[in-house]
Amino acid sequence: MADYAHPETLVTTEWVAAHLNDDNVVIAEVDVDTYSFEEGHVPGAIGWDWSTQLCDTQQRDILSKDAFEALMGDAGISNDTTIVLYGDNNNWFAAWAFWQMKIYGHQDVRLMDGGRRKWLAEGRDLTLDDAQPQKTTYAAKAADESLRGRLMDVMGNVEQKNIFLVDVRSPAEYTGEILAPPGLPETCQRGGHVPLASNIPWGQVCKDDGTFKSYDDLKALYAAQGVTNDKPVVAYCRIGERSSHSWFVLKYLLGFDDVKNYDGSWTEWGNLVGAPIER
Amino acid sequence: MSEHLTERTTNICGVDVRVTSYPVGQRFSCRVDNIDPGTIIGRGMGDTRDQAEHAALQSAQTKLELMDSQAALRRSVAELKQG
Repeated sequence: MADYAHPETLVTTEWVAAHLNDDNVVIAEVDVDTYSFEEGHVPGAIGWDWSTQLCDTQQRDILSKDAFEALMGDAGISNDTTIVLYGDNNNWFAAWAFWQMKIYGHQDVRLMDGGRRKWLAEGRDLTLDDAQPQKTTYAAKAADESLRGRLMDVMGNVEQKNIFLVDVRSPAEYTGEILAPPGLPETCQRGGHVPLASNIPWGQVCKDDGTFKSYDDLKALYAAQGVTNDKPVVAYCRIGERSSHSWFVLKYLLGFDDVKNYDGSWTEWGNLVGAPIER
Repeated sequence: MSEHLTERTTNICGVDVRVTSYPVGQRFSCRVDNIDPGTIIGRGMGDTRDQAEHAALQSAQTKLELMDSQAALRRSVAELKQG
């Protein structure tokens, strides 16, 4: 069985439990619903609110370089810190944070395989204590736009068939049967998918316990839909966080050379006047 | 699943949901989500797992019924405008 392309980007819950008090390790729980963190979290972990701390709150965008540096510095993270990210729901928003950290060039960032769910399932300790990080200075690199898919990347290349486009939403969203998952606001005018996109739902990359499938199983999953390392891959979903999870799999577990996360995703494409749609 | 964390699926207001419950300290916490992508629709706490799940399912049902009502109202308004 082949190993992941970058196994160093994953750590087990056992590893995290053994390194809770390491000086150079910062553990961060990333949530869209911070109640999860507030009811109990991995001892020593800081909590990040995706909506307010990992996104630009003025315009729809990732953090600016300055804001990213401030976030990291406030969390006591320096450029050589080992950051371990985790969250609920297979690490979906933790993967977004991972993607953003790579955009700004942080070297050592890892996901806790299985996330919060596995930590809970194993009956591991939780704490209500707030971590007290010592603020420091962080110097981010210039944003690496090669990791980020933009509208023109999709618009220009899909027609030319220069890229593999992967829609990681549910089949019902992909076909346009629903505009948004149950319980979420619709936020798009039309349903369906970008023409020529393959539908490989993000949850299929994980096992029942929330950990990632093996390299061989992941490779077969994407190859079954013709997605290989022969062309650049662009992943998208509704708002770009499920697709950041798939981006992580394609780039860091399978080692694909050119993978972008199109964070505008369907809430951009499905609202765009004149953008072609398939159902 | 484990003795600590349990998971099951059910249906509320025509929506398939996942019910996940686990101990937090001396109590139990439960979340109800929409399976894919897993957005939390309801939450509950209780002294027992059953109490937590009941509270979470009630919370989720209220939210889904409210969204259903809002959708129905929008449809009614749209029909009135057409008429």
